[in-house]
Amino acid sequence: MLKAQISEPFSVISDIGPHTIADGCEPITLQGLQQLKEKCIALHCHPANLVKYVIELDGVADSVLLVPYDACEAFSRRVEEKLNLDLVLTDGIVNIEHWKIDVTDLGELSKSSADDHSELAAEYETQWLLATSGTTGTPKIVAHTIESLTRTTSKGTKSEHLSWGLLYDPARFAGFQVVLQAILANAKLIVPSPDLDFESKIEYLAANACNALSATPSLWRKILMGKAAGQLNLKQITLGGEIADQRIINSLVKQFPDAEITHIFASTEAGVGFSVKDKKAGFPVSWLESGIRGVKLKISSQETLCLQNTHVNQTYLGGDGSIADAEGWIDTGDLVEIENDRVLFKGRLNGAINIGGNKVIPEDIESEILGIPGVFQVAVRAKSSSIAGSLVEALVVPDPALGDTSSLAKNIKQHCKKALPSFKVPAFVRLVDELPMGMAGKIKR
Amino acid sequence: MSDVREVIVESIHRIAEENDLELSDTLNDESVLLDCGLDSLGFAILVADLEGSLGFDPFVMMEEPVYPNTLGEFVAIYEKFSKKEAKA
Repeated sequence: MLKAQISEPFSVISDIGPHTIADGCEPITLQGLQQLKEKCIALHCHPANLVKYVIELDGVADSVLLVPYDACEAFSRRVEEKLNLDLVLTDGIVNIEHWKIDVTDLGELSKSSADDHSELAAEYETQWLLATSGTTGTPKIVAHTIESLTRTTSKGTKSEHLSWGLLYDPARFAGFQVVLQAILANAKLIVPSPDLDFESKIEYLAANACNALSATPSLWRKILMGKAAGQLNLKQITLGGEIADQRIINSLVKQFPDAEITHIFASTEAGVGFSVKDKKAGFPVSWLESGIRGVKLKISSQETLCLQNTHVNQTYLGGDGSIADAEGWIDTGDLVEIENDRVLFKGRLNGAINIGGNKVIPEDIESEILGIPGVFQVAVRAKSSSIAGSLVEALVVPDPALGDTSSLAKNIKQHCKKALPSFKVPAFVRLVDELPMGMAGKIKR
Repeated sequence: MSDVREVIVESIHRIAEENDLELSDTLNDESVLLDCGLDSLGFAILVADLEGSLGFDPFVMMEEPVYPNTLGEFVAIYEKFSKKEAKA
């Protein structure tokens, strides 16, 4: 259980007040916990509260779905449909109107009562349900255990003086990793308000002496561009979610010469794969032979990286099938290439493009744009950006019947802004006479 | 050298227009890039757009990566690399 791993009080600093989670000072009463025993719970809270209740619920609940702070109605519908949820737990801070199943306020479970002093005997291996970032607006739910999530987490004394900043939603895979890292290392956790803009979040972290931070390469570029980067004194830098190229690693070495820099290879589906700490892009070729910390690696015939995790126990919930094949190999779908003594990441096999850590299927955006009057044909692809990794580019052939095309590009952008999440909105809309075609007559992206 | 600056400022205005971003009234050397109305996506679009109009992307070319804070620093990077381009 997570609570058992906290040897010293665990501090969480946030805009809803600092709190310390220590043994014997539970936010939920024993009676409250009894009600939650073996239940399937959706936890929908402010990020700082989410962290607090994760620790409480581990070992008590059968399974806990972590609900992103900004979850919308579509998310609730989807998970209510797929999962057999017993109840939603909330702290009263987030918007809960769109839940159809019972919502319980955690305040109700935290009121003290007389029999609070005995121990809750039973311990369960709670399943943690995390939503993938989703390619079609319908998230897939993946079940994890604390073990599968923390295999590469360092628990040594070295990390104890770290104060981890939380730039991600803790209900998302990357954010949950940071939370577990902080808990297991008895580090502090600093949670900027999710309502702050990005630069203000960095300022908040700097003001609270954050010295360990995890972000995607795109976010790191944004951090390096901001004013507050100079105020950060980082000892541990973690990159994940996108390809960490040598350029961004070098920039970080330059700005934070004393920091350890780790890039993690992980995904919601495969859990934590492995981490690389030698300040070089990719990973050593020798790991294909030797494996790394209980993970075996191989390159498939399609040149994608496959992982075999000795602790594999992830499955898709709600009928989305098994993740690993019969021998336990998980195909990550990430294309790799061997260059000298390194295995380098090259992008996604299935044509999905990675925009700021979000997987985007070009066809989704294409179908949205095709519905706009004046559009004849469209091809969406990734355009590499030295600043943001990849951006969405839409090549559009205007309808020949459309006389004036001057406002078409702007219309398309405005339409997409209303209809799609921001990371799917094309950064570039280019009007072209025809789309590039491949040999088989398929549109080349 | 002032041409580079003009191209950049023009590009910023056009991208703001196309993306419905509101720029701060005064753009000068001290303007902080991410505060002047372009968000980080707008900034990435700007760099790609300038690659189209100037023919180079200094952020790909630089050996030691530098990320500018202000418009002045940003222009200086482009001016420095436009000299290199001219020599090449």
